[in-house]
Amino acid sequence: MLHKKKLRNKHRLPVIEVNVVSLMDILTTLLFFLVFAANFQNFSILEGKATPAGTSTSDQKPSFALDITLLKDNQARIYLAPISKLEVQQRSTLLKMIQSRFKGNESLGYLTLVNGRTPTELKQKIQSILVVIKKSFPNEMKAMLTVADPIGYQSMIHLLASIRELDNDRKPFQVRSPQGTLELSRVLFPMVLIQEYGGSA
Amino acid sequence: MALIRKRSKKMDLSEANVNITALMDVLVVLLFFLIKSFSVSASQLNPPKDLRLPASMVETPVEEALLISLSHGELRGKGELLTGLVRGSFQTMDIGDDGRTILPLKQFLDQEIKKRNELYGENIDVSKLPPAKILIQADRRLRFQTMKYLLHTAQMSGYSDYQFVVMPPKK
Repeated sequence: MLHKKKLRNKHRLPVIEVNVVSLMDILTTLLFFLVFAANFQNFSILEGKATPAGTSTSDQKPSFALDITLLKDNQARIYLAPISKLEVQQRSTLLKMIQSRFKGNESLGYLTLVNGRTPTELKQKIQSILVVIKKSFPNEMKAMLTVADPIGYQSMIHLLASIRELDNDRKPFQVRSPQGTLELSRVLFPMVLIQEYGGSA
Repeated sequence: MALIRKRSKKMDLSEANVNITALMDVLVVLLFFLIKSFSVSASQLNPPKDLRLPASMVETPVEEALLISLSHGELRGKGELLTGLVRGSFQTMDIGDDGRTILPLKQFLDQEIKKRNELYGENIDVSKLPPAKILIQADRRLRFQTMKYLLHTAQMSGYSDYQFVVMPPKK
């Protein structure tokens, strides 16, 4: 009974027409504005730094130095400066990696040549080495990227991104934070100084 | 007479109701999508047509900085043509005595850094300002051989922080 009454009441209500013309005007204007102003291209940036002019390492106290030299699109050289006077975490893992992949000694530092069949493979190999180094020096942020003349700009960008951060398709690694806790990270050496092979840029 | 006849014809027409509900639905959905994807970025980047940006997976948003575009054919600063290149290489007349500095770019960057210093210099010690940033839009087919001149000139003018503009790779 109550339901029927309600229905009857509804039928008695007058039909009201809502004027949506002004609303349509606003919507259309807004739409046109957004379509014209919208930037559908998704740009990002990769940061790099210039090597500071006039720096000399001879009279400075021992510090961490890592230099990745891109010699060819699929060949790079990694140099790690002497680490004997530095605070090293997971020293045994680092030394094991150095012994297996690098040449050199405590006083001169360590050097290795990395080859890949493709630039992607080279990038992956470099990242594997950088992860071990980063685990041993979790507070270090700087690395040097040295690029040879014939290298393409795209290859330089690839390697720059790889030095800064682990690729998305790779699992994050465990690193000890300054507070002493273990945490997962993808960040390798975000402060990359760029220089020319055979002299500073 | 003809006008009256026309009017009476108009009056006879029955009122047509256009159902705009579906149109409104589409418009509102489109509007929400556009507002969501609308980026209020500091820099408006419109790379020249012949410039193909390098691809990278990084997702760092673009920051406000001085825009320099380098393609195979030209070098631009804030959209203004600075000099032309021949097949992706700088012309000898544009290179300074040191063999590394691009003269038109150096002149442009010096002017820009002067403007920056004048702007902030009244209130702040200029030496305490953060390093000037340069936003580099360069063609991915270029060689480092060409890029190094740009990087060197920027550094010489006080722009020691580089921001390389990249695009997500095509799937």
